[in-house]
Amino acid sequence: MKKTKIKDRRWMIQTLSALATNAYIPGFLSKPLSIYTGQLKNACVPGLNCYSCPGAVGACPIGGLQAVAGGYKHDFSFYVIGTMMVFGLFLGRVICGFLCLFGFIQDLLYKIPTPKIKVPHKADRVLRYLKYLILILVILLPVVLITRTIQTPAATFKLSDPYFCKWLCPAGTLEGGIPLVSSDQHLQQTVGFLFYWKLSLLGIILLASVFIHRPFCKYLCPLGAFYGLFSKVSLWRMVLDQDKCINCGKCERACPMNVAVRKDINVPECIRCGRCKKVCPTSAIRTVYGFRERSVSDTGLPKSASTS
Amino acid sequence: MKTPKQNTRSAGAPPRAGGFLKRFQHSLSAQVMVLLLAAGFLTLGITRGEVLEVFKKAVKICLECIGLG
Repeated sequence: MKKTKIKDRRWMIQTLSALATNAYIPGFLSKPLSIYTGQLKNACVPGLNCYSCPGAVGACPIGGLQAVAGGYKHDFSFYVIGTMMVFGLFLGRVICGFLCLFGFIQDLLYKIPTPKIKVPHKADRVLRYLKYLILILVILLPVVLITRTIQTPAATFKLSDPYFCKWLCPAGTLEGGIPLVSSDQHLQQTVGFLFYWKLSLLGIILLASVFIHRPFCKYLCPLGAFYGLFSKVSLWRMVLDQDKCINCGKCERACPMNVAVRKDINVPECIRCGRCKKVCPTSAIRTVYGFRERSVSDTGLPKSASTS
Repeated sequence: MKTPKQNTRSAGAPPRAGGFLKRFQHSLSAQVMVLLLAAGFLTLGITRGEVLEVFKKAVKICLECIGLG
């Protein structure tokens, strides 16, 4: 009974988070659709949520990162990276499992009852590194691949495109592109190759999500890659008590992110969905939240950290 | 019949042995360092006026993001 509640709680949090980050109702009601322009957009939301979505109330961290780096003033966004570090430290990939709208959409699609595909282990291992490569490109490309140069008597300004948003991001197409273009005739007149490219990419990712669990999160998302770097230092951690573990392997078979739970539970791939915890017959897996203590008990559980 | 592991160390616990990096990333010092670094980055970013740059981008329809730019 308790386990069902935990599962429901995740779905509830995902739904509430999706609504909270896209709470600007007037954006959806206006004709053509419009976007929120208030002060909340000074801040970044934790998940991948396009700021051109009519309901978006905050800025997308990846979009913000590229906007600053691609602008003429700075090559690197300390503000956005700092924000992402705070999210990474306090929540880590819990954001992927509980707060990200695009992750939630993929979860919903995977619920469609069809035969599921398990990506071969070797291919899966290699493809996972792709998102780290994309993360590096997200940070470097706006600096090295300049698209426009503006000459003035005083200085030369270099500008570049937000390459990830422009060529890859399916969230922008789904949350911003499709609703805005379908409601605005002027925008429709400017549709070209790029739009169809992004639409095709979105279609492929959404279709893949029906058969493979969260393919975008596993292989392509630079935000998930960044938060994954904080898996070991994050305040939100998983703990496997090997005194209780009977090595049945149920946790690993249940893990949708293919984590080798018994080897190392706090790997960058873990999105803290809690499915391993749910299936564990001996309750050997626990969630711990808090700063680490200098002295740790033999079971590895910090003495005063809150557990659930 | 599988026998339970005899290892008493928890998988999520700080390793007792191993490289410096491995031990460091499981320590309180690592968490505090990340927190301080993040605070420093945020302060620097805010003082450089990056918030306004993010805001300016976020309040206009991003043509690149929606596939038109």
